[in-house]
Amino acid sequence: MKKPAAPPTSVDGEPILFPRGVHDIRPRAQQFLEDESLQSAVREATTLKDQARRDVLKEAFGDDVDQIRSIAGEIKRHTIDHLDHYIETWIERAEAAGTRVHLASDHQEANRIVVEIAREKNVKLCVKSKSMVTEETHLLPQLEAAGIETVETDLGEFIIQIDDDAPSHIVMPMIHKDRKSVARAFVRELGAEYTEEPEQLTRIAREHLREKYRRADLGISGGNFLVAESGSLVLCTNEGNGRFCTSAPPTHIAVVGIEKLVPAFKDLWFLLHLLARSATGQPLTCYTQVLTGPRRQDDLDGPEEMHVVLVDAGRTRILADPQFRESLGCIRCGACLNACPVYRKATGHAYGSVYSGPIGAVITPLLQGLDRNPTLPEASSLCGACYEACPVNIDLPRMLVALRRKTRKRRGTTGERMALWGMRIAFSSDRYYRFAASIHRYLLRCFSGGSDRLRAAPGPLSGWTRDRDLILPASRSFRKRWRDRGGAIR
Amino acid sequence: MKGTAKNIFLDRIRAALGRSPGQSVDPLVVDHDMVRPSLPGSGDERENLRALFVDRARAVGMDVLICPRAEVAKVAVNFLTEAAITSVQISNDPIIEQELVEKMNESSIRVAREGVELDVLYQEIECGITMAKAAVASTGSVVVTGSDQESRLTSLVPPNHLVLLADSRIVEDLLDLSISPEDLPSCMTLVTGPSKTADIEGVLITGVHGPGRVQIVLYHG
Repeated sequence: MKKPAAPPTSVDGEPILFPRGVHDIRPRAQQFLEDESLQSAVREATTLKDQARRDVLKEAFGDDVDQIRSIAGEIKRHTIDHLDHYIETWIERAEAAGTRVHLASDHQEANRIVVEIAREKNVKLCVKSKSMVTEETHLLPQLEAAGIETVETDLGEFIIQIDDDAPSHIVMPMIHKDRKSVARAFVRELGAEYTEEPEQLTRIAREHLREKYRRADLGISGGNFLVAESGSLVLCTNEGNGRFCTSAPPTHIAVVGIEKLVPAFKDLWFLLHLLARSATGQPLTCYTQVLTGPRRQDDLDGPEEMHVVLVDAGRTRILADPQFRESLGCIRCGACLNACPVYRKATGHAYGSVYSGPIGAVITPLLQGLDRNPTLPEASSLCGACYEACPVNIDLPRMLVALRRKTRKRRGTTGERMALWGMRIAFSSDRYYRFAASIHRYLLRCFSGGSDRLRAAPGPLSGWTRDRDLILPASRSFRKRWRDRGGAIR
Repeated sequence: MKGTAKNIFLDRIRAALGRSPGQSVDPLVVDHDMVRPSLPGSGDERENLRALFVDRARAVGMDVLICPRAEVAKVAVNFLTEAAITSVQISNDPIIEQELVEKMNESSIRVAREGVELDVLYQEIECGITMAKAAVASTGSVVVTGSDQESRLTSLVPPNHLVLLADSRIVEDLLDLSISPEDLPSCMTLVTGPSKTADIEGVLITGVHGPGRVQIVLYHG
């Protein structure tokens, strides 16, 4: 298979994921807005998934959905607040079950640990199932550099790998690609016959990857949860590639973020009831694996060695800031992406991170530095759809505002400051407010030219009306009408 | 793992949380039962549980055949012959080994035991036959394991998976799965449907890497 010499690049010439230097979401979003087929593909997929999520949650839990989301949030927050305790317990139990636990403070260390194990085992071929953390750490190029052929086995990730592309959605990695590009990639890279039929394309990938599973001497996976009480690793997958990667090769390495802990099985079950429903509308993913150590002495198969690399890489820094700590509760279901009007238009690659959408706009700056991603927190209309969709009740809008506040070092232009000063006075007393409101109404009428809406505001305000009209307020204020109807006003 | 490395790692987390080593944990008090489904119907609970399981298992794309205990072998082998399956791999279980094998021999279905050559498993075996350790009604899942009785690959590699389930093993919800953390097998898998993907333009396709067809034979008595 052809190996990309450099990471795939985006419209701005920078790598799609994690551009060098300071990343600005705007130029990319601008480009993607003009791509009509991309827009319709993403709109359709996200709208469908968003609706499926609402429907199945309603069907399963009726009016209790919000209460259940809030309990799920409590479970994750409790775990994060006592993370040291649960990690310590998990390590103890996992080691008792024979799992070899490794701790990585940063990306380099995580990659080094994996490559060292692979070298020690003399690995030639590695099959890999989906893992967001390994995208974060850029593990693949490191393995390739060490001479280890590494194959992504999730269908979407496999296609993305052979087509030198990058995932653009947490759950639907190739939401931005169409069947034609898959067909072309399969002809070019696998020597397959040209077909655009998804069924045929899937068969081609299946046959190609089966050969890899058989020959692979290492399987790498991520992890959805770590259960403290048993030291287990939990994987939620649909295709079965995750099961192959953790069953067929003699060595299994899971690379997992430290925030994935849950205290006990009852907490796991609770969250599992929400994960797949929020992600794809399924009650559970097709396969939910609970892995507790490598194969036992009498087991018929399974890996002889199981390693788990716990990755910090900026997570303790988030932990230390109570304002943002709750962002670590994310279970990566992608519901906030599907619900977000900005994600739907800007699309995944605009965010320049494996974590896109509202959760990406929060955690990418937190993990990588706000100075490198100053515009990501702006990529939201603060409509709150993400908060409503989140199965663990993470208050994303609050954190987006908090991040914006951090980027606001300057005090604004003279005009902005005068406007704010004026508003402060207007809102300071009942009389000033009424006076300001009447001027406001009068001015809007003047500029509207007799129409019922304002189509072009003057001067610096014209930016606001460039893309939308402002409906005028009623000619008489609510207070006046209330008084005329005989209502009392304090 | 070396103790010092672990301590440094944990100390950094403790510092971030403002906690000290060995500091106690406030208990987590939440109502886990909120996620329980409401069981349909009234009357016999086992009957309702079975109805719910069958309904949910079918909804996620698994086929369910129901029969009395005495007819398991007949029903299972009927399925195999109707599906034109000629070679199977079986896990080590008394019902499968003693009852199914005999019937399969009569129908000239080739039977491979656990531990068969991988070449054979990947290229020739058309169906893996295993026992469900448990089943969950609310999600329509069956639980299979990797252990000394069945390999992880038997229920994964062949394009069909036939799983036998005793009606008494169905529990209402995930929360009712009796799990003792000390006695977990190395691999426990909840199977909730055939292998699926919708990666290419959202078109749903079954049988990507794992079995495209899951047939449950649910027996009672």
